[in-house]
Formats: sequence, structure tokens, C-alpha cells
Amino acid sequence: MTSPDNLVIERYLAGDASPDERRVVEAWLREDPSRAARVAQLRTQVDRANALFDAHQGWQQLAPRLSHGRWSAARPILGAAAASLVFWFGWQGWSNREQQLAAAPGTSPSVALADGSRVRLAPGSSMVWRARPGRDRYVRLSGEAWFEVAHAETPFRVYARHAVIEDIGTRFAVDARDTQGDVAVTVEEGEVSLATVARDSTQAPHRLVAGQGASIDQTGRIASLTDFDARLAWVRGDFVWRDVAVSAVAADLERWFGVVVEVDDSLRSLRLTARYAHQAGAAEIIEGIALTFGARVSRDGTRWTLTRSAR
Amino acid sequence: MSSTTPLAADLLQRIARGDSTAYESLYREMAPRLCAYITRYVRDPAEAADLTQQLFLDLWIDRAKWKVTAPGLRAYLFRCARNRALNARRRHRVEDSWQDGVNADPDQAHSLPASPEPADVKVIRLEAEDALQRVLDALPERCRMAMHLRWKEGLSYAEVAEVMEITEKGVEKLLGRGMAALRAAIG
Repeated sequence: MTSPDNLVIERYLAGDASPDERRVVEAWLREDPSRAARVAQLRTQVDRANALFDAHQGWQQLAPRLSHGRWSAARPILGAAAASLVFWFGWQGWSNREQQLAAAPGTSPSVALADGSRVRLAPGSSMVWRARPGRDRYVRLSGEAWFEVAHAETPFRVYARHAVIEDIGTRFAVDARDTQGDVAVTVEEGEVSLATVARDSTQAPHRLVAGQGASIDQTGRIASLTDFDARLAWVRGDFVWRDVAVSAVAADLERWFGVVVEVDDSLRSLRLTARYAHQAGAAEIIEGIALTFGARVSRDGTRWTLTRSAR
Repeated sequence: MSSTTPLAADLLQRIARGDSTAYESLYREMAPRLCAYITRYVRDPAEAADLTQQLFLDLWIDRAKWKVTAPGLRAYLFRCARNRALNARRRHRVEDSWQDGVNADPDQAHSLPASPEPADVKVIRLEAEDALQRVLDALPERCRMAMHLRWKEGLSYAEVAEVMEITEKGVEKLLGRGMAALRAAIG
């Protein structure tokens, strides 16, 4: 077939080709898979420009300088909590009060608690905490987080929906994103106990050691998890999908990159096995997934659409 | 046309009135994009971030004087970013030449070659990617900038023309030239 005009290809890459033009370019790309791959790469090259700028942190630095009274009082807080939204409930004796952190989609802030523990929130998650060594240490978590608990005699408790995870110094991840289902805990180092807060549960707390993962349902029943690596992948900066529905992959991308990924019905239930570094960025990953399924990607700002290529 | 997330229609009026929440939403939407664009010119991400911050600070101070309507806002911001980046680069040229004892040539600032990458970065790059990257790197900077605005930001010809202060015909020429060079690498 005759190859499309250069400017038609350009419009296709920019996302403003007409439907007819799109069809021509896509037919041309289908002729030669390596050509399609190179075009995807080309797009990625242009798209790769730094994704490092952190708008949350940037705004927190900028806002006080806009000389608007509303921010001046908040400056010390904002300085201490880069890349996230932190609200202290009150000024006086704040260490006695609960603190709160929410991670917007596309952000994964890490916070040091007063007892020396560190918590990293996955995007779209939030937590309320109080960390007073010698008194009480706890986190109420919604969503997903990674914990590195500093060793201390006071137990450190994580409350996530119906589950309570307790330890005195270890590294583990908690996934309580599913608001209906189970809470999953994955232990990388040390040992934790896993129980339910349900009063009528007759189950004894379950002990989990390094290298183990388990989920707990509302009644306290434990099931062990096998996808240990995949569950901790995000902490290491990776996506690991093993036989995961494209719709769920899209949801992950939305959370991690703060974008919208729409998936055509015909693709939603297809299953993907892949590993990508977060660093690759949304564009590269989405293009990669599209190539895997021979799907078509279109983009409108931060909104991506994956559709089945017309055959 | 694929012009990205719509910025709220009343955003400009709210910002002009001093509504910092409105400004924050503009910042969150645009600052990372402008920073990425500036990085293409100045190469140093830290400097690009500083320039972006300064730009948003100055824009806020001058918010009553913005000469822009809502549909032109994105192009306006990119144009401001481009001017800042080019100015910063001219400054570097002056600083460099001051050190070298050579006269600064402001025109040179437009055609600085891509800064060389360290050898280890080159080695790990895939070969096919490398070929494309070489062609991209060899393109005139203005071609690459037009592609960035078009492909990454989804700006229209008219918006790119506005940002780069050239005609729409000029934009078409730049893109045509860039695509012609890339065609060989695409196959």
C-alpha cells in the first residue's frame, strides 16, 4: 500500500488525525510490526521528558511565597512534609495528636514517624497515625502502604478495615484497597501478628514471618498468599502483573500516574503478564501494553484510551 | 482535537481576583508540563524546576496583567516558559563566554547541540531506540520543540505557532522537516 503522508503521520502522533487518516496510518503500521514498535518508541522518546517534577512539593514551596495570609501559618508544616498533603490537627503539642497523610493519585509519599518508623503510602491511600514511643504507636490505614517499623518495646499496630497487624519492629506491606474483600499483609523482614478487630471472632492471631504473605477476611479466617514478589513490587518501584485483567492493570496505571486509562470492553478481560519499572512512565507502559494486544492507543492530555485495532 | 484536560472556564477570572485555590489547580495541571518543556531547553532538571517556580511566582504577581483568554491559556503559558528558558540559556552563554573570554553569540543559543551523554548511559540503550534517538537528536531543536508541543502536549498548529512565535505555515514546515528525517528510521 502507499505509505501515508508525513504530515498525516505527524497528526496521528499528535492525536489530531481525522478518523480516515487514522485508519490509513494504522493500516500502514500493521503492515510491519517492527515499524509499529518504532513509532511507539518514537512517541515514548518524545514523551520521556522529565516526569520528575513534583507538583505537590513544588506547590508547597511556592504557596507561601505568594504572600497570601492563608499559607504563611502553614509554612513549617508544608516544609516538613514534601510531596504530600499533611494536616496536623492543631498546633499545640502536635506530637500528642493524630496526624494525617493522604497520597493523591500519581504520588507515593514517604513519611518518617516520631518513633523513627517510616511509612510509604501507595497512591490514592491515606492514613491517620500517632507515634509516641513508650506510649502508643498506631496507624489507621485506608488503601495500601509499606511499613518499616523501628524496633521498640511498644507494639506498633496497623488498623486496616477489619484487620489489625501488630509487631515490634519489621518491614511489611498492607493492602486494604478492596473495600469489600480481604486485607492482605506481606512480610519482608521480621514477624507480625495478624488478627481481626471483630469482637466475635474466635480465631487466634496468626503469625506471619519474613517471606510470607496472608490475607484475612472479616471473620478472621486466614489464607496464605503466593504472589509475594508482585505484592511488594511497588515498594521497589515496579509493576509486576501476573495474569492480571487489563481493566485492573489500567486501574493500577491510573493510581500510579494520576492519569485516566479507558479500556475498550473487548480488551478489559484480556489478561496481562508483564513487568515494568514505574520509571518507564505512563506513555511507555501503555504503548507496551497496546503492542502486546495489538491494541490502539489514543491520548488526550492525561486521558488514554486503549481500543481494539480495526482488522 | 486532542487538547488535554480542559482548564475550568472561569479559572482566569478567579485567578485575576486573587483566588489562590484556582491558581493551585492551574499550577498542578501545568507546572510539570512546563517544567518538562523547559528541561528540553536548559537540560538541567533542577534549573528547569527553578525556572518553573519563578515563572509561576511572577505570573501570580502579574496576574492582573495577563493578556490572555481561556482558550489561549495553555499556549500563553508555554510561550512564557519558552521565553524564560531561552533567556536562561542566553545567560549561560554570556556566563560561559565571560569565562572563556569569547563574545557571546545570542543566535548560537538557538542551536546548542544536545549535551553528550555519559558513555554508560549509551551502552545500555537498546539499538533500535538508539537509531531513533540519534535521528531525533540530530533534528534542529525547533523541530524537536514543535514535536514536543504537538505529541506530548497535544497542542494544535495554531497553539504551537503562538508558543514559538512563528506562523502556522512555519509550524507545518518544521514538522514536515522533522517527519521527513524520522521516516528513514521508522522504516
